[in-house]
Parts: sequence; C-alpha cells; structure tokens
Amino acid sequence: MQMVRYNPWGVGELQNEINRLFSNWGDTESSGATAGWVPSVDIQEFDTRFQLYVDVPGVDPDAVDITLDNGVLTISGERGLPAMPEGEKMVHRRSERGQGQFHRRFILPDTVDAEKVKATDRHGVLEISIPKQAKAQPRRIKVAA
Amino acid sequence: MSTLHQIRQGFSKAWDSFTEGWREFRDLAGDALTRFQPKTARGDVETAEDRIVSRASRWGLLAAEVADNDDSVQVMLEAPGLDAEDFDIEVRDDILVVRGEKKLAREETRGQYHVMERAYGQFERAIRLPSAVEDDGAKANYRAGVLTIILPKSRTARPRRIAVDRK
Repeated sequence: MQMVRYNPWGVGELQNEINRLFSNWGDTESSGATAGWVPSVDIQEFDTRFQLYVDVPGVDPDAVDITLDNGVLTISGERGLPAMPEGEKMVHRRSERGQGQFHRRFILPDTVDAEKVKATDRHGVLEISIPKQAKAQPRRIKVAA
Repeated sequence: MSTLHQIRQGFSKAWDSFTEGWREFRDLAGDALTRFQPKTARGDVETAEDRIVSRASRWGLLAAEVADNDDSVQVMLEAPGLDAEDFDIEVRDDILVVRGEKKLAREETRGQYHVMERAYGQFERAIRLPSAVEDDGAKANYRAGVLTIILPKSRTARPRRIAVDRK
C-alpha cells in the first residue's frame, strides 16, 4: 500500500503546481522569457524512440516550427485571437487564453536520429516522434544452449 | 550607492515583478486552473494506466473564451487531447458546466515518462455566461483541441426592438 501524507487542504499540492507553472516561465530549458504562453509537454521514452506530446489547442499545425539542432529540440510558433465563426458582431466577455509566441526547448541525448523526426497533430496535441539510432537501441542477446 | 542598497532594490524589484506576474496570472487564468481527478472505483487492481495518471499533474489550464451578440453566446474551451464523445455539457440558466475525462491512450502506457506536465483524469469546469441561455438549439463542436459551444440567449435576455409608429 502506498502511504500518502495527510494534507487536509491540498494546499501544498496546489503550491507545487503553481510553482511549476511559474518555473516554466524563464527557465533555461524553455527560455520562456519572451513567450506569451507555455504549452504543456509530456516526454516518453520507448525502446526505439522518444515521443513528445505538446498541447497546442487552436494552433494551426502548419504554423508550428520544430527543429532539432545539435541535440536541442525547439518547438515554436504563434497564435492570435481565436476566430469567431459567428461573425464580427460578437463581443468578447472573457478571455483566459494565452496569446502570442510560444517556444520550448529540450535537450535530447545524442543517440537520437535527427533525420527521422516525425510530427502529427491530433485534437490539438502535437505528437512528435524522434527515433533513436539503431546502435542506441537495446539488443537482446541469446544465450547459446 | 551601497551594495546592500542595490541588493535591496533588486529584491524589491523582483518581488514587484513577481506579485505583478502573480496578479496577472490570477486575473487571466485563475478560473482556467482546473483540477483533474484520476478516475477511481475501477477495481482493486491498479493498472499501468492508473499508475501513470496518478503521477501526472493534477491541475490543468482549461482556458475559456466567452463572447456574445444579441442572439447567442459563444464559448470556446481549450481542452486538447480528448475525443468529442468524452465531453458532457450541461447548462443551467447562466452557468455552463463542461465535464470530461482525458484518458491516457493505451500505447502511451508502455514507455517510460521523463516529463509529465499534462493532466489526465476527470475534470469539471463551470463558466458563468453573460446572460441566461436556452439549451434548446445549442450546438457544440470539437476541433483542433478546442470545444466550441454556441447557445441561443433566452427570449427574456435578448434586447427587444420597439418600433415607433409613424403617423
């Protein structure tokens, strides 16, 4: 059984999350200093590849720039105000969405294969697949009988 | 100027910019900060999915845009990575409630996570609308991770034009 510390208000947890939200702005890996908003990212490692999931709702996939240079993966782009399909007569009452430029940067191990990076967009999530070089993949060694 | 004075000034500047940033953040996104609950009562056996979800962020930002004109209210909610059928939308007078569950895809459970900032699980977001609406004739669609809901205003909430008779 997992032990969980008694925390009646969940304040510590919220504090941690807020610290995390803030630490995203202007840290070294992301340099969000000039960014209008910071997309959330999951990074997952498989035997043969790294997989990134980047939340970019309402962003045109063609407007996202992904580069891998010397092991540094940079994801950047920009978004403006959301389009109002119901016509220009709409008046904004509330706006919570971050606007403008975004960029995030990650350092990847040099075993990745920069030539074979693939990216697709699914329901506002950018899925970036970065294969590892063949020599970096785990190999099974058969024991001779 | 003494070094101590400079440090003090630097600190108070940093503090100002922090509090300003905090206020701005709270004004802009305070309502968007939404709690994600891992789905419980799935049984006694903890699955790989449960384990990963329990490690993920419990808070996500679901940013909303609300706009209106004379006839209808339009709400756009950013909720990337779901499917259209994962949403449950309810309206009560001038409150719109959007519930949903962000699931972890099966393929995602196999690898090892190095960074987990995205939240998974069930969420509920209530948005106060600028006027009362009718659920009859409401429309919703989900595209590029943005849920768009258009709700007709209730008859009493619409401005009425009264023509003046000319004699």
